[in-house]
Amino acid sequence: MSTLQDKYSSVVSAAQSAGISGLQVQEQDGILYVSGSASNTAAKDAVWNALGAIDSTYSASDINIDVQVSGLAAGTALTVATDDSNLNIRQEPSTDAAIIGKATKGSSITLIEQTSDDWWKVKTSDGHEGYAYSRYLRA
Amino acid sequence: MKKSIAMAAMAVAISFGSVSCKKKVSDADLQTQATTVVTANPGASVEIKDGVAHLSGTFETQEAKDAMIQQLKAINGIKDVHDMATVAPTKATAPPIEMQSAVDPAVQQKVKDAVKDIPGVKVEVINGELTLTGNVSSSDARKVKESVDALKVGKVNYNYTVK
Repeated sequence: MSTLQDKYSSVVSAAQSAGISGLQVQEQDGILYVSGSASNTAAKDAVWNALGAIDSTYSASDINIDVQVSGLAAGTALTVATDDSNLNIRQEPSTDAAIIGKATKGSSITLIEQTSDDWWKVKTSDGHEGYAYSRYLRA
Repeated sequence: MKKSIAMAAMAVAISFGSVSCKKKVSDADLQTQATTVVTANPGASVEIKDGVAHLSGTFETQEAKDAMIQQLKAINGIKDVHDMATVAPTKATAPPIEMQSAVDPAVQQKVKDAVKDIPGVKVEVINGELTLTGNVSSSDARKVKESVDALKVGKVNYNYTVK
């Protein structure tokens, strides 16, 4: 086992016990790449929590974690998990796009599709359809 | 008379001996042939002792190992194959991770999206490396890293002060 794999073994074992599918651990140019798919937000969080236990400032440059919540079915209920503000629903998957609706923190909205890792197409309870930044959605 | 009988017996013995020698392929010859066969599998090696091939090393699959044993047995003069080899599939080497350029406009947009709600973070590309400076909370630093790591732009310098 390499030094990096040794250093971040707890992250990898957290990913294994969280049931991350397609888990890949690969070292390249001095960076340990850990990637895979999580079936829900809690599984993804478990991996990041493990990193936080080693690197509490999340500033490490020698590990790259790309664990995305994926494979969610259309119609999945998502919880809005913003810090305190409302979540913007945008016309296009970009923060440059116009805001066409808002969803309040803690409310539930419906997934239409996981357009990309960052942007999911959603439908709000009042019928607005648009793109929300996936960081603020919990599945 | 006695002498000639002895001579004849000796001649017979020698001729028998030479006949049996001709029939038996030497270990050295067998070794050459067997090695030629076994080099097809770089993880394995073979040694001939008294006409018996001792196969050792590792094979990707049981089938590959069985096939090689059959090939060795087929060599004229090999009496038996002693199988000391193991089957151990080698890990497929993963293809290199594809990197995006930190200066790619699409990447820049994603970085902008990622830090939009996080005030106090400054993003620059220094020597081709995405470099983040400023002041952030630990929870915001996590959000930034979650988003930025997904972009895979190679080395990222998280140089901000995390409080």
